[in-house]
Amino acid sequence: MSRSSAHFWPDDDRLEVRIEPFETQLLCELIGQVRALLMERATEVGAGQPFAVELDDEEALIASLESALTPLPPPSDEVIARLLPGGRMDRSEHADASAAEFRRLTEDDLRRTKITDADKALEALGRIESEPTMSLTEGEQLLRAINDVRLSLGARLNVEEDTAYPRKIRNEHDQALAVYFWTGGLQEELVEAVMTLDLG
Amino acid sequence: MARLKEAVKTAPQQQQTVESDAAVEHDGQWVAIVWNDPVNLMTYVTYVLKKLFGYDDPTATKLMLDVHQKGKAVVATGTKESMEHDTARLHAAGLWATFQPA
Repeated sequence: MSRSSAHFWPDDDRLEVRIEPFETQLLCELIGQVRALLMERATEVGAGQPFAVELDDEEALIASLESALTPLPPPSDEVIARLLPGGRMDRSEHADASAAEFRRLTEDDLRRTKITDADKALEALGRIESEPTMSLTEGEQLLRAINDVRLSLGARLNVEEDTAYPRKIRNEHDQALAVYFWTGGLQEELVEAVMTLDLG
Repeated sequence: MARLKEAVKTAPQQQQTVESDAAVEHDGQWVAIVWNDPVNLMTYVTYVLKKLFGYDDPTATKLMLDVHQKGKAVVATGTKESMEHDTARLHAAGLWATFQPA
């Protein structure tokens, strides 16, 4: 890919970024929407409070134990269900109990990881105009944040294997679909740049 | 997750509840599976498999193509606990993954 058309490319041990302000703004909006959905889910399952860090704080420990022992309902929203998927699909005898245990033990971490990725990506994008470069770690966080945006749009727009780029933009769905394909192009460039930087 | 487990250990009377259902399941070999989805880019799936499991390029590419063409691929095998861990790592990367008895 020629440098003139690329948004991201590796340079020494960092990623160079060239992205138009309107693109940054759109990307930040989309990442912010994913973040908001994840925060909503946290509130829904009562995970707004951090776990007890100090084990001698008995009250906080008991509260965190109680919340850790309460099964979390699987998400009903299609986007959240894709961002925070279940761990089992097989029909073994104990699969349901195992799936519930997996969600109870891992969803909180997964949700926090995704929110952190979104926060870090927004932070890096926030200074891109004055400082058009990112560390590899920031690039990876942005990569996962963009992936979450694409998973969310894909779930909301019912994207399938053969969904095509809209030839004409006639409604909001077409518009959102065009945005979805645009994020795909960005991600493709970013993954190439990160891979070159990280894995040679 | 580690912290959570540690905390649970300090409450033995409740530990039973935690382990009662799922722990009795199949103690042999388990697998972690990545499933095809229409959103994840082929390059991204390959990158994640290389990054998380240290696969070389041909191995990661072969697994990615299996996911894409056959609908799924076993990307790791091991104990139930390690496959749960791998599934959680794949979820953090945004891949659609599950674990099950081999």
